[in-house]
Amino acid sequence: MRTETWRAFGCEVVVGGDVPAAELEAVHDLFVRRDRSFSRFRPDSELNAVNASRASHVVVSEEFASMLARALTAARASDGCVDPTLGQALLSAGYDRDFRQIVPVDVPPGPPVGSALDAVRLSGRLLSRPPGLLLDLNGVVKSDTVDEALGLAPSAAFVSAGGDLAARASVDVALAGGEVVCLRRGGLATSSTERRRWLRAGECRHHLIDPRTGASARSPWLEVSVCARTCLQADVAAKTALLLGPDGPEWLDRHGLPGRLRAGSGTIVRTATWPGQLVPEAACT
Amino acid sequence: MTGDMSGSGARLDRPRQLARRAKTGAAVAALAAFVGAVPLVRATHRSHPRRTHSLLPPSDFLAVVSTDNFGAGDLAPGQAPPVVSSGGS
Repeated sequence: MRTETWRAFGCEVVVGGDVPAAELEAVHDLFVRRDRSFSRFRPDSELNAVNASRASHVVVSEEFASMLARALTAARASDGCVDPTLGQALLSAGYDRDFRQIVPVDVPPGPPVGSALDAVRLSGRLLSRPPGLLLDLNGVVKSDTVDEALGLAPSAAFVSAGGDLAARASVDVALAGGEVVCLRRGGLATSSTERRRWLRAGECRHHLIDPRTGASARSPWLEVSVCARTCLQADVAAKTALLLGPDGPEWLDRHGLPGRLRAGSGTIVRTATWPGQLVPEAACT
Repeated sequence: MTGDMSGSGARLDRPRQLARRAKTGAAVAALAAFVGAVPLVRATHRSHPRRTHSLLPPSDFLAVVSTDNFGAGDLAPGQAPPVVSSGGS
């Protein structure tokens, strides 16, 4: 299968299939625009403008409002695990610059900063939140962009960003630990504490903040992969299962979501609907 | 006298009224410019915000997916999968 690749959101974007140049350009422009609007590390991003405003009520762009609405829905659907109000917690943990520029330092991390989800209100394009609250929408922006990009490219078999993908035709996907699955349609995403982690005063920190503690999550799972109808839903579910720790597999099963969880010990747990876990009908008779 | 006072008062008040109106006008103009710069009102009329921002309700957000959405990979030895999903973002 032909693929086109470039970098956005600090990761590799892959578009698979025989995709005309006009569709590729539309997808590329979408990623560039989203990166420009929602980056925490671009001084001119709308996210940083909103976060810097001292007003308690701020008018935001339609795109920003739409993305924040998705983030708030994701927060409710994930029982508060995927939380867009943890920007300060990320800074406190040491993720305060483009990841490639982070170096180990002896300074201990700042104090944990908890969720302020209840203080955020969105009415149309009017956002109300306590001044000083740092939003971080990256929990949903990348995967939502993947879904939207697939919609912009009817000829594409799949679109992937950092390995989180949306597909309308079969694509083989490799997972850590050697397993390969074939995504036929829908979304597949992986959340991991093994990537985007750094040392702070000798302690390992990573980008997945647990809203219950306001610090990098302590989970038995190094990596969780989930399949869902869209990349956004898969991504939210993967993050939630990882943050829920031992309760992650049960939470995925309760939602009927196929998931694969890899523990630090090397043990791999698959939910009931993951391929290979389903008992063939013939075997039941 | 009353009429004179009234007329005089009206004349005296007029600059204040004009100033007040000018202030109000400036405020309205400033507000109009602001709304024009960030077309909140027009956006509200153009497309209902709730519809623009609607997403599945949380209860349906993570609904069950069809189990035939994916299966075991069937790559031949030596073939590389086009995508590696390892939470690298």
